[in-house]
Amino acid sequence: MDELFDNIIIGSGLTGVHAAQTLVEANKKVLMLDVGYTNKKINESEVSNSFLDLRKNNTAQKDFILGKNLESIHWGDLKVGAQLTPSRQHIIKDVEKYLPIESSSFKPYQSLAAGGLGAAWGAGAYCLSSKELSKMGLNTSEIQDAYNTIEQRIGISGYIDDGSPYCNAALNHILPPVQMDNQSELIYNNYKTNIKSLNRNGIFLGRSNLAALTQDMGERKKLSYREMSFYDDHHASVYRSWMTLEELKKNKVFQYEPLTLVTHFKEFNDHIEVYAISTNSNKNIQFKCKRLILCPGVLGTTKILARSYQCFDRFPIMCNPYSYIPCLSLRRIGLPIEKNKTALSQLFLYHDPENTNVDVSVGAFYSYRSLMLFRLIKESPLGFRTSIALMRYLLSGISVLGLHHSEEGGPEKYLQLTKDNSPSGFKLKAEYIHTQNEIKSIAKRNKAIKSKLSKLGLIGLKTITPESGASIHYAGSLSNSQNEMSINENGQLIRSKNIFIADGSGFKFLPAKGLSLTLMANAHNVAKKIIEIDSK
Amino acid sequence: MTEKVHIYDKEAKKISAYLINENISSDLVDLYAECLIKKLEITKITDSEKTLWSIALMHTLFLDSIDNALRFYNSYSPIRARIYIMACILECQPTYINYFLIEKKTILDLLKLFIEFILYPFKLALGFFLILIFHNNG
Repeated sequence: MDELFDNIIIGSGLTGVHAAQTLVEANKKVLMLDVGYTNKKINESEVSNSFLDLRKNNTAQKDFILGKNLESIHWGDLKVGAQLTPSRQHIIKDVEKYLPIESSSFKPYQSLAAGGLGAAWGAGAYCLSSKELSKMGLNTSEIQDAYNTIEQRIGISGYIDDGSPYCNAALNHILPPVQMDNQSELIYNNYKTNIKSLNRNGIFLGRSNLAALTQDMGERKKLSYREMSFYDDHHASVYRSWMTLEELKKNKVFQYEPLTLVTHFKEFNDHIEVYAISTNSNKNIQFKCKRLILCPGVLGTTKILARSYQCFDRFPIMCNPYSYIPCLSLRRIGLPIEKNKTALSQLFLYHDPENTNVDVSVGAFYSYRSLMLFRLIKESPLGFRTSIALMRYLLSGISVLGLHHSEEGGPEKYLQLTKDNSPSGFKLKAEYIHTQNEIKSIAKRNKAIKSKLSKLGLIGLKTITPESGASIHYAGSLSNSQNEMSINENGQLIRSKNIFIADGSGFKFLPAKGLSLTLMANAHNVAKKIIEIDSK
Repeated sequence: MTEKVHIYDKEAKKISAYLINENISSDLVDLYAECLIKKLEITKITDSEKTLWSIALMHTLFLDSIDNALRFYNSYSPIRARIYIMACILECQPTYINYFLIEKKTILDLLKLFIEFILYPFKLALGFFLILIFHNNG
C-alpha cells in the first residue's frame, strides 16, 4: 500500500482499541493492522435462554459444548487453552504457527483474535493503588483520571465494601453489583461473621468489580444471568474489545486491515515502513505511516521491536505467579442446581498482610458448573463412574479460587529473539525461572490463604500451580530504563520519536490485580500524549 | 460408517452401561464411533492393552475395576480415553442430564454414592489383579 497513514496501530486487543478510540475521537486518522480471527457464532446469543435450558433441551448441544471437532476434549497434561470452550477456540488459532515460542519453563497465552486475549477476559476490573501505579512507573493521577474515561466507555459494575480500596476506590460511575449466586452469598456472609479474624490475618473480601453491565448501556444490554459467559457474548453485556472495534469501524477516520500479521518495521527520515504477512495469502505486504503505535501485547511488541532493530539481547519479562485452589463448601453439597446465575467471578479476595495495598495477592472465586463435569472427572483420582456420581453430588458446593501474586521479574525471566523456520522467520526463546526464595514466598502466601478458607466456610482441597505463563498477565519487556529499548513517560520508545508502545511492555512492576483496566487506561493516556505532541 | 459403528456397538453399550446403567440408542453409538475416529491418536488401543480391553468388555464390573486401577497404573491409557469420550458424549445429552446434575436432593443419591465408595476398594483390587494378569508389558 502506498498511502501514507498518520497513525498505524498494531493489534486490536484492549490496548489497541482504546488507543484507537482516543485518537479517533480527536479526529486523527488511524489504520489498525490485525490478524483478527473471529468466531461469528460467539456473538450469536440465540443458542439458548440459559445454560440450564441448553443442557435440558438442546439435542445438538454436543457441538456447542465439546466442539464439532471435539476441541474441548483434552487428554493428557493440561495445555494452553485447555479450558477454552469451542466458541472461544479462535482465540488461540494459529498461534503455534505464527507466534512460536521455544521454552522449557514458560508457557504463555498469545492470540491472533480480534480483541486479542481480551476476548477471553474474565471481566475483572481493578483500579490499582497509587503505590502500585508509581511502582509500575506510571503517572498516578493521569491513570486515575483515565480509569474514569474507560469506566464510562465500557461500563463497570461493583460495590462499596472491604474490597473497594483494592479495586474501585478511583471510580466515579460504578453500576450496581452483579447479583450473587447462593454459593457466593454463603461465602460473603461467612466473611462478615469472621471479619475480625480474617482482617487480622490480612484477608479482605469484596464483591467483584466487573466490566459487566447491570444496567443497559446504549445497544448493550444488562447481564441476563444465563451462565454462559465462557461460551458467548450475549447482548454484549460483558465488555470485549471487539465491541469497541465494531464501533470504530463505523468511523470514517478509522480503517481496519484484518488478516495482517505485522513482523517488523523500518524507520526512515519522514516515515515508517511496516512489513507484514497476509495470513490469507501468505504474501508479504507493507504499509507506510508517520507514527506507529504497538499494541500486540508484551510478547508481540518485544518480537516486532527485536526483529526491527535486529536485537538478539535478552528482554526482561514479568508474569504473575498463579495458582488455583478447588474449594468445597460442605453446607452446599448435594443441593439442587441454581437456575439463574452468572459464570463470572462474584467475589474477589485480597491478601494484604502488611496492609500496604502494594504486595497484595488477589483471588477470584469462580463456580464451576458451566465448564461441565467432564473437565473435572479427568482430574479425579477415581474411576469415571464413581467420579461422575461424586462430582455431581459435590457440584453445587464447588468453587475454584484463582490466585495471582505480584511479580518483579529477575535475571532468569527473559525473552530473546532467535531465527527459525516459522512464516515470519523468527521466534521468541523464553525462560521463566523463579528463585528458591520466590518459590518459598509464593508457597507461603498460598498456604496462608488456604488455611483461612475455613473461615469462609470452604475447604481448600488442593493447591495447583500451573507452569509460568498461565496467569495471562505479562509485562515489563521494555522496562529497563538504562536501555534505549525502553519507553519514556509518554509511552514513546527511547530510540525513536515516532514509535509508541501502548501495552504493558513498559511497566516496571506487575501487581497481582488484573491489569486489564490499567492497560486500557494507559493506552488511552499514550494516545492523549500523541494528540498533545501533534498539537505542539 | 455403518460397518465401523457395528464394530463399536458392543463397547459403546458396555461403556454406557458402566457409566450410567443405561443402554444407549444407535444414534449415540454412531456419535461414539465418530468421536473415536476423530480422536484416534488418544483412543487407539495399544498392543499391550488389547487383552485387557477384551476382558474389560466382558462385564461392566471388569470395566469398572480396570478403569479404577488404570487411573493409578496408566491414567492416560487409551482404554480410559474411550470411557472418557463416552462420558463427555453422555454429559451432552438432555436425556441423561440427571446423571450429571442434581435437580432434586434425594436420599437415594446419597445411598448410591455411599455404596460406590464401599465397593471402591474391592473394585480397585480386582482391577489391579486383572492388569497384573492381562496387561502385556511386552
